[in-house]
Amino acid sequence: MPWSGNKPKIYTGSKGKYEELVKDYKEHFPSYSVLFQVAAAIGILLDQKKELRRRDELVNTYSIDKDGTLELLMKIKYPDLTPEERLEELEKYAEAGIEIIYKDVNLTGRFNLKKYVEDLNI
Amino acid sequence: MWLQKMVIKNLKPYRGRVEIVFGRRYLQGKHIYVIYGDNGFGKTSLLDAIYWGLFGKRARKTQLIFNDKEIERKGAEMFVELTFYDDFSNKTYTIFRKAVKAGSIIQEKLEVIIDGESITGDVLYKQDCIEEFLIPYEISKFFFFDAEYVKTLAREQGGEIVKDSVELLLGLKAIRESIEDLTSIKGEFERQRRKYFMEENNYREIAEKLENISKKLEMYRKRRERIQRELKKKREERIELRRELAESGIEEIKKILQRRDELESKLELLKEGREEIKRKLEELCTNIHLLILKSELITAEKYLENKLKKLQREKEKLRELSFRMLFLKRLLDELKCPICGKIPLELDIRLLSEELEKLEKNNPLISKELTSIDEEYSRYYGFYSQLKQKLENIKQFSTSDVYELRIKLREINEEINRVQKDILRKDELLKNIGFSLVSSIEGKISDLQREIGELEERDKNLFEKIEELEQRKKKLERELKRFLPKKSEILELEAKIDFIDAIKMAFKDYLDEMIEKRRNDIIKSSSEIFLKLTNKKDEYRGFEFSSQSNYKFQIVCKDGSKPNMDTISYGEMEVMALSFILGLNMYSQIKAPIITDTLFGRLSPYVQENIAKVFSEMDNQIILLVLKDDRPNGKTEIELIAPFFKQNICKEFIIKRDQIKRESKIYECKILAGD
Repeated sequence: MPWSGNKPKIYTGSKGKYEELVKDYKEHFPSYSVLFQVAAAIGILLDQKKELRRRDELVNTYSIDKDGTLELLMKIKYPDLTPEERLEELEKYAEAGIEIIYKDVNLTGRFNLKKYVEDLNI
Repeated sequence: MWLQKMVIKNLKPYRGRVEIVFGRRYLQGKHIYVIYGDNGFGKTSLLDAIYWGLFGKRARKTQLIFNDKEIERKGAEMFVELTFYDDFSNKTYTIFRKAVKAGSIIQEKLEVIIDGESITGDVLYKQDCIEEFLIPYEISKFFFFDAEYVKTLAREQGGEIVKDSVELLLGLKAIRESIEDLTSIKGEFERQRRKYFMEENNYREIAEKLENISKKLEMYRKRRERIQRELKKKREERIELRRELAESGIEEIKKILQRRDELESKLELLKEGREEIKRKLEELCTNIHLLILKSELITAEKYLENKLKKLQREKEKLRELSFRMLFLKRLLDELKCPICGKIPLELDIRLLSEELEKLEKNNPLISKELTSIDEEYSRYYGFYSQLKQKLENIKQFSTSDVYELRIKLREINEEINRVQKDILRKDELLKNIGFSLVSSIEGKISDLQREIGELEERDKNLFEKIEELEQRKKKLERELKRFLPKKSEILELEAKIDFIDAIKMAFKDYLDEMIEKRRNDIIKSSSEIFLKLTNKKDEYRGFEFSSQSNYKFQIVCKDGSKPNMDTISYGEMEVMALSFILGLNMYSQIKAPIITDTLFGRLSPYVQENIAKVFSEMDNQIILLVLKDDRPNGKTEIELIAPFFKQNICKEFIIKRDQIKRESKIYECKILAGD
């Protein structure tokens, strides 16, 4: 289901990192939408947010969170904010998350999902 | 025939136009004209002018008679105009021959006018007209001559020099030419007959060659047939061998192909499976964030559960309070217990009223709060329900699925690689089987191949030989056709040759007869003149010549003896030559003017007198070009003999030379006739 509210685009301050990761880790991140979702999830998981230093268009809003889990989680976290405000918050989580992934990948040379998923066996 | 007028321009010593008018025939019964001139003044040039005018460069070279000053000038012209009157045909002939210098060449033009009408046609035709109507070139030298020609004739004693002229004059030249033509035709027929004979020989030779070639051809063809039969047999053997070998290889190939098809099918299935795994993996990738968020969602679930419990508790508490207030209100309003209907005591009422007041004071918006908490509960319960649902969904995406799928993907990729390698191996095998088959075939049929090659080479050589022989045979056949014996043609040719021989014989007989007859006439008239001219009238009977002696002059004495001509004096020979010329003139049908140039110089006075007498008796127009000392009262060549023909002189002309201007002119005069 589409994100409620009236904010058609998702923005980022780290477009270059997105481009690099999607290009180099196609197996894990087949698209910008997938990478944005993963980055937002890691930001939420580690409860880290980062203000966007610049706002480059990344993807259309309707292409992310098709099952509504992220929106639900943001509603629980921020029950008093408007949908647009919640999406902006999600962008901040994703901004922090992409930074973490980028560093991790540069450090280890691979995307280590195990670090973020509890029941990951390998 | 009478020369009436002669006009010349720029010819030898004559510059500009010079005209001599001789006038009509027998003017006052006179027929002799005398033109005087000193040596080098232009007498002989007048003879040259007549020759050139009548016969062009055949008689005199044009550039040699062109005035030497004028010829240097660009566009210079020279001409000769001769006007004759022929009393036999009663016609006037004017010949106008002109030469114009154009650059380095001299162009000539000829015009022949008969009775004022110009003849059309080319130069050759016009020239033929002159020779036919006036005088032929060969004859002209017996009419227009100088002492030099007489001397030459005397030196040669007749002979070849007179033969053509005599025969032409006798009209026999045409017959002799006809005989020559017939001889030539006969020669041609004989050549043809020889050719036919040779062809017959050729025919026999070719026929023999042809037979040999045919035999050889037959032999080669039989040999080639044998080789081709053998070749056919060997080729069939080779085909059979190849077929057998191929069939044994085909079974093996079929098996490999079947196995390869199975592998292809398997590969197809594997690829489909891989696509499915990839699709699932992609789907998992799309939801990977849910796996990351799972713990967060579980935390949120717990939070929501606590929240809902807390709200529940608050809600219950508010409801109890609300219910107590409602109870107290109804009790106080009705003063009886709404539950059991008992009437409360006054003390209780007061206490209850104080309790209600206190409750209302502390909870003035209890109903709103109750509504608000209900709404909040509902909202959070909604979140909770959704969260539960999400968590249920996430359970479907076990992380192990990702790894299982990845392992499966790796395995399936490996399997695909294996199958592909297998297929490649099968392909390689198929290729190798093909090669091994070919090599085995080659090995087994190489001997056959070699034999076939050798046979083919022999066959090719034979074929080439046969081709060559056939070509030769065709050529010989063509030649043979060409050399087919021409019996009938040969017979025909022989008949023609016999016929020509007969005609030739008849012509020769006629010629001999005619020559004999006319020769006697010429000999008679020449001898008459000879006897008139010679000083040995008592010793000689005359002279003669014959075609048998090739027209050599021969003196005949009165007793019939013929002296050796080598012992005769030169002077006598000159008299004989002159007699021959004048005799021929008298006999001739052509009555052309006799023009002599300085004829009398060396002759004895006696002969000169006799010539003068003969000239006076002739009826031809006679023009004498006479040497005269140019000094005043200078002597002439004919001084002594003039009395003998003086009465016959019609006109006299003298050539005068301007030595400063280097040009000659002609004037009419009276030197002999006037006195």
